[in-house]
Amino acid sequence: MVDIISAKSLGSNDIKIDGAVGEPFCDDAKMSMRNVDVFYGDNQAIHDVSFDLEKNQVTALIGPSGCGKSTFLRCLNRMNDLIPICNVKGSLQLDGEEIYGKQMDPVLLRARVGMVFQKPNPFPKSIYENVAYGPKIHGLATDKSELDEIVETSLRKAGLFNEVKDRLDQPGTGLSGGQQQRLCIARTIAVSPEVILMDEPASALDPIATAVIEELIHELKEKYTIAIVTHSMQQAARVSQKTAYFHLGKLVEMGDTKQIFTNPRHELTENYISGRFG
Amino acid sequence: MENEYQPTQHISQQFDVELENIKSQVLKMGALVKKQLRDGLTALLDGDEKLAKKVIKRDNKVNALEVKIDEACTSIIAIRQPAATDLRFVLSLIKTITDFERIGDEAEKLAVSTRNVKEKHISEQEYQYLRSMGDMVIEMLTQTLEVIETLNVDQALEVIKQDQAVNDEYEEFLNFLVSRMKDKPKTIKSGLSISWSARALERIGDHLVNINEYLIYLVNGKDVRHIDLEDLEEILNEE
Ligand SMILES: Nc1ncnc2c1ncn2[C@@H]1O[C@H](COP(=O)(O)OP(=O)(O)OP(=O)(O)O)[C@@H](O)[C@H]1O
Ligand SMILES: [Mg+2]
Repeated sequence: MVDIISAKSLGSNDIKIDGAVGEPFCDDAKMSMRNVDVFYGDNQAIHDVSFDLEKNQVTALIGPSGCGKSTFLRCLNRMNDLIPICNVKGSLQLDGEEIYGKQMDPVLLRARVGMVFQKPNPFPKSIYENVAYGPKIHGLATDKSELDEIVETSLRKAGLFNEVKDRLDQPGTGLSGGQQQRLCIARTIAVSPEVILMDEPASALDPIATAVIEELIHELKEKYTIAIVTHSMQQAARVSQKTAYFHLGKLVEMGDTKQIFTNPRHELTENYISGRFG
Repeated sequence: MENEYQPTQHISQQFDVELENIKSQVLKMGALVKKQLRDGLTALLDGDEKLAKKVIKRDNKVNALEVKIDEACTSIIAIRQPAATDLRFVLSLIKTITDFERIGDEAEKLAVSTRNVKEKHISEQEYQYLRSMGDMVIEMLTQTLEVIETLNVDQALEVIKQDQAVNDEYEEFLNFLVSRMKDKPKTIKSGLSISWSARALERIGDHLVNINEYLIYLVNGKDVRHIDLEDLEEILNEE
């Protein structure tokens, strides 16, 4: 569209980001993050990020590679604790409770805020054991039949039960990529989380498996609050109600997904979602 | 991003080329429609049946261009899945060509009426009214083509405002025809047929308003259809 543009080149360095534009906050927040900074040693990966995850909504985190999406997501269930040089500052609350507070047990937190990773990572155990593991260690079942029931409902919610019901004792690693990812979702659901974090859950899947996962996300939001990182703009547009755009460790813009994809307010968001230089 | 349109280039240069292509096709269609309108009006006013035939025949070309642009837009949507400004760009132009096509139809109606009006002898006043309405919508169309080129919201707003004058002129002309028909019932037949041509010009003004509303949506993402002029200016000035 070269000639309808007064060819003004906008390098990202020219564009200021002071505070996110749009609507980063809501009345019905499941998680509230305020002024979050994240450091890897001396390197600051997240700069003063504040926003809410709205209850029973899907929030998509998008942005160029290296902008800090995974880093931020990992703060939400303290996965970053496992990285020694990682240091998190600011306030992160789950239902008003500080998740980096002294009273918070990270293991319990991770049951309440579950995570699904980019590459399906089932344990080298049976399908049944993959799902039963969490409920067992958290003591969610008193006997075998209760555990069976948790396993079955979780697999059903993940849309996998019918495909695997006759081979629950076989290894989870023997499933297809899309099935493995749904197994991991079932494993996450099995401990009755309140929030589910997904880091590019469909990036290794074909379009059909992707569509199945997306449909699943759509259903899961009835019960859970979901944050999803994705590199697919179409996926973000399809599955989420809210979208947050990150750039160089800062939150640039957040708002209703529909608005972000039809009429973003910030130039950086516009450039990114429409595949422009910026 | 308000009231201006200055996106940077896409990483995919081919995508830029495709969008640019659509725009130039739309401008081409607009220029053809303008020719149709000019010639249709001239044929009618001068009783030039030869010219009228040409206009009627050329309407096919307008329709063919609409189909072609439609296909190009559809393929961009399917293949590129445009977002944000790109999405609004494609949607606005896809709608623009529908209104262009309708303007083409109205111009054809003027040409079709040529013989009928010629037989009834157009009066000096009727000529003046049609001429003046015709000049107004041709001017609106000329400016609309400029807006497609420049995407200047202020100018789009100007075009929308001009439609009021077309409507006023139309109203006045109708009143004139009606009172003349009352006085001289003999003129009823010719008056009715002239009023159809005036109606066609008035409709063209409406289509041009639509197009400029799409273009405003393209530039600043605000849907300004079905809004009063005053409110419209206010909306565009806020922020
Ligand atoms: N374990 C780590 N140790 C040190 N630095 C890290 C670590 N993980 C991430 N970083 C740095 O933090 C910044 C943000 O990385 P992060 O992985 O969060 O980005 P991302 O947005 O998820 O990128 P991608 O889309 O490629 O997954 C990068 O500069 C990265 O190099
Ligand atoms: Mg990542």
